[in-house]
Formats: sequence, C-alpha cells, structure tokens
Amino acid sequence: MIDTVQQALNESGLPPTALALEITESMIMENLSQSVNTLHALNTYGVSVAIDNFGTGYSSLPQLHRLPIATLKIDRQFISAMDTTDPEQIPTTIRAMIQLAHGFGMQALAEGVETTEQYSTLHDYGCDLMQGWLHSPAMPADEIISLLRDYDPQAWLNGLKST
Amino acid sequence: MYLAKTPGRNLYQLFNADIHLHATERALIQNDLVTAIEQQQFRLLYQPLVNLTSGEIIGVEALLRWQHPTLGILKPARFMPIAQESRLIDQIGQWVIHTACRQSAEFRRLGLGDL
Repeated sequence: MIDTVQQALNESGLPPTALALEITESMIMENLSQSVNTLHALNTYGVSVAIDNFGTGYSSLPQLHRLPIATLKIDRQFISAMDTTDPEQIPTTIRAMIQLAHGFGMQALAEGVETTEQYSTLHDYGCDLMQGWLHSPAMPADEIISLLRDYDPQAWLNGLKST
Repeated sequence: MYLAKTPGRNLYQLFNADIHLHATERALIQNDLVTAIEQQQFRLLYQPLVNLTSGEIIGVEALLRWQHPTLGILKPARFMPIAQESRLIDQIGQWVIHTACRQSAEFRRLGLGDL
C-alpha cells in the first residue's frame, strides 16, 4: 500500500501533501495494529488520512485519538436523517461527532449535503467541510476543470442565502 | 436467512428469483473484472470538498465507477466486495491511486490550485 502510494506520487510528480487517502473505520478496526503502522507511515511521508463513513461502524475512541487522522467524514445517512427523523436525536449525534473531531484536532466533513437547511445547521454546529449535491455532484475530470476555472466561492455562498 | 422469514409461497419465489439474479450478476461481475482494467472500463469521477464558511473548494474526492459493457455504470458497492475475494482488489486499488495522482498533478499544472 505504502509502496503503491510512493510509486504513484513519484511517477506523477504530485507532492505527498496534496494527497489524502480515505479509509473506513471498519477497515481500521479490522486490523488495528497494521492500520496504525500504515497510517503513521503515510503521515510521516506527508500523505493525510480521512476516516470515511464515520459513525457507521465501531470505533475504539482511545485508538482513534492516537491515530494520525486529519479529517472525520460524517456518514451521509446522518445528514439525510436530519430532515426526516427525530428532530433532537440526529442533530445531537452530529454535533457530538463534530465536537469529537475538533477535540481530537481533526476537521469534520459532512458527506451528502443536499439542502440549504442541512448546510445552515451544519454551519451553526461548526462543521468545517462538506461535499454533496448542494454544491456539486461527482463529475468527470473535464467538467471539474471547467467548474474550478470559473469558480467563485462568494457567489456560491450568496446563492445559498437567496434560496 | 431471510428466506425463512418470508411468509407466503409467492414471496418465497420472488426472493428466490432475486437471489438467482444476484448469483448470475455476481458470476458476470467476477468474470468481467479480470479484463476491466486492461479494457479501460474504470473511470474516476471527482466531487468538490467545500469549506462551509468560505465556500472555497479545498480539494476533490476521486470516486470510482465501472463502465460495464452490459450492466451500465456500476458503483464500487456492486463490485468491490467481489474484487475483495481475489487479488483484483490490489490491482484496482493501484489503478485508482495512480490515476488519481496523475489527474491531481494535471489539475495543478493547469493552475487549478492545491487540490
């Protein structure tokens, strides 16, 4: 795994700090000691790691605290449940996950954000990052290139306020 | 196990047909995965990661898709569990990392920022 990453970085000329790898919490916990070594090696090399689908598996919190992880990605099922289920329980869970990330010195990223209501609530909770249809779907490289070329962050934020 | 839970005969047959379909699809996927890389059927899609406060795009996530010749566009959940049973998972993983790094280097060459 480390060899593949190093080889890909060398071939492409991409600096390690530009790469982040995602790993699910179940992948980490399945083979904890090996994961710890791999994550530390990646971190030393300059590649950052994000935990994907956070909240859907079992995480050992004391272990999580010790792992060199930059970002916790809150699973989309929590975000989509914000509008539909118990109005108290889900926000409390999401807020707790954001606080957990911050307490561990990590960033919190919300996956699958689709509505301005979800955005506003997450923003109020201090969530750092998001991805989802509210901003843009996954797209081929040529489309993302034109999106990035013309992108105006302020215009996007203004667009949210006006809806 | 959920066969035992189904109450009526019709339901049983419905689920049974479903399982048969899954088994057929599974065999198809297993078989076609072997040549998918060399036939360039894998694609990466990219989705922006956005700073909630500034609205800035701080990176993009690469997402794997398989343009299967007969089944259409497949998400990893459909084929990665099958790939995981063989060494193919390593080959696919290597393809993803190499392709994503090449593409990311290209984004930077185009002056699209530190993604």
